[in-house]
Amino acid sequence: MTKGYFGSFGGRFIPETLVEPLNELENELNKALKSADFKDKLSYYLKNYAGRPTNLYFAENLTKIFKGPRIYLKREDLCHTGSHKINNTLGQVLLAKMLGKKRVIAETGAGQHGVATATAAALFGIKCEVYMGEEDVKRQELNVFRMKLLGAKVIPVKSGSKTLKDAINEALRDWVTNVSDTFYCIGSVMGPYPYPFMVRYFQSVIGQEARRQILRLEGRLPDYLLACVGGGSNSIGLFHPFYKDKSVKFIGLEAAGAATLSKGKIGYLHGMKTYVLQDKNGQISSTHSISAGLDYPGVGPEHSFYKETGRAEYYPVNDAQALYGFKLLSEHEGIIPALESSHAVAYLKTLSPKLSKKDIVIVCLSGRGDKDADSVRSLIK
Amino acid sequence: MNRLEAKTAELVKSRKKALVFFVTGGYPDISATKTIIKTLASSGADIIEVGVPFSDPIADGPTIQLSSDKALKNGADLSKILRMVSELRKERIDIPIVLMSYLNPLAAPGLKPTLARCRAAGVDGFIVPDSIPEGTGEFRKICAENGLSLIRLVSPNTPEKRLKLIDSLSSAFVYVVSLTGVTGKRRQFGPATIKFLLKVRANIRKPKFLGFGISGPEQVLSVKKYVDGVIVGSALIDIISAAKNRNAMLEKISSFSKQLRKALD
Repeated sequence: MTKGYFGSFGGRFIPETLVEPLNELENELNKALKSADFKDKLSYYLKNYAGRPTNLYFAENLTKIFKGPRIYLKREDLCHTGSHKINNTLGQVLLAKMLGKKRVIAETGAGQHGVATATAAALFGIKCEVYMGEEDVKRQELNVFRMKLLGAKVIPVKSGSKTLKDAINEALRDWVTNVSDTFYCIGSVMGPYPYPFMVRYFQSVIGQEARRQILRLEGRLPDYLLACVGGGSNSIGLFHPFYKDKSVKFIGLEAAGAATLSKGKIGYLHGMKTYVLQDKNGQISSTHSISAGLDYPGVGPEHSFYKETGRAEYYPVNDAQALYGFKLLSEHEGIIPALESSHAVAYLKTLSPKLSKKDIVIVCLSGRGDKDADSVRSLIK
Repeated sequence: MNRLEAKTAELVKSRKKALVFFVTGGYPDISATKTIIKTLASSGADIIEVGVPFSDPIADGPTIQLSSDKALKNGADLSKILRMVSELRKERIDIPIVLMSYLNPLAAPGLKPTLARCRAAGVDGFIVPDSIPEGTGEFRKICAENGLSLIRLVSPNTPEKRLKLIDSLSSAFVYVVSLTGVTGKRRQFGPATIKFLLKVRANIRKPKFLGFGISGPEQVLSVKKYVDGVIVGSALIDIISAAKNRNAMLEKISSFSKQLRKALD
């Protein structure tokens, strides 16, 4: 495979000004990943600060309800800050400190990555500014306030569709401008090389733990892994450590209103070659989902590669189905999931009837749903 | 040799500095773009960059972002821009025209057919700020097959070795980005810019045209001895946006272009 690519996807499609900082990042990352000091520090914080390992919980009630496979939940919702995003931001902000940067910037959709970046920035003592689409600022009020409490500045983005893609545009423009002292902490397995590889590295802890845990609990590998896909970081984090276990099937669930892999075409967006939702003129489409974290017309290039090679399958899940997943888990397992993760939960209804009682399914519960309480309240009235 | 390459060779030979303008295609509408180009061509401009608007222009500041949004809302697309270019050619407007856009709108209909259509319409080349040499060799190849120039960019943090590489891979001229940042007017260039331009001059042999941040004649006077030409975009868009009617706009554009021409000569 060409360096920086997953098959024909990924690469670097960026302004010249970003070439040097990306090279610098790549070199520093390679050094860090070989350094015992960096790895020790990261695992120290993952364990003592973020609360890892997270549980792999046998969802007994769901298993009974669906009368099919044995269902396990990978409880990333139990991570500090309420989602898997902290796995990545601890790693990247540590790197930013190593690089001697004065400031980190981030984009955020649902606000989970923004909160996780602001948290790591507060912990490691570095200035933090978060770009967030104006629409998302409105629908994720709680997370906006959390970021402010953590000492970060939230910058509402008024351009384009005022959602995640525009927040990324604005963060890229900021980075191009302040490249010498600023570190761009990208929240998903996307962007130009080496970001998709770096974020995968930091999120793979999800799948590495899940693999160990299921082998201990069941004595064998699972049959299916389910995870929601926006940019695709919790899913790659879960999937990738099982990549060579060919018997383990991967299913990624997209928001129906932002189903990049199900309905998009190959294109170039935010520094990468990947599937993109676009019109015939190559203009990027606006997306619509109740879950701000999945409201993105692109997707991490490794997912495009998994789709192209058939390693993973991707299906759209609509808003109503996601709400069903949200209520199901709340009412029957006592776990209020993030709307993003609810997409993966909802798909159990489609998948379970096709499976037998011997089958094992792991669902990645990427985050908790407190942040969504307000929007769900107005939706189920 | 296309119009652009003939033009840059002629400028080098006559030791003249190039005046290049960027105009957003279809802003405020396609017919305005056409008259703006004609006006510029008769007011001292050497080369025109026509922006093919893209929904997510990460290298552009607020001025060009807004003009692109409006152009898209008014229905501008590559086909309409190409129709306008071919009309200009039929009217014997021979000024070199390069398209400035992003990879996605050019690649969406397929690079090969798109570039063939551009060539047929009378386009001479491309400037694509989200395309660096690595990973876009195919683009360069198809450009070459169609006799189109692919102009590469360098920026203040580009190392010397890479300046030389980009020099060798750029056609007609090298686009020198004056600053780390996005397009948009800046008041003046500081000593860091001059230092960068000296580094560029020592490492790049092709004509060097300076763009990003150029707002008017004073700035041009301060940098002209270090470069072979200047590229003006946002300042022109501001004039277009501020104009009360079309005639007033064209008059302002003409006098702005003549002022810059005078500053360069």
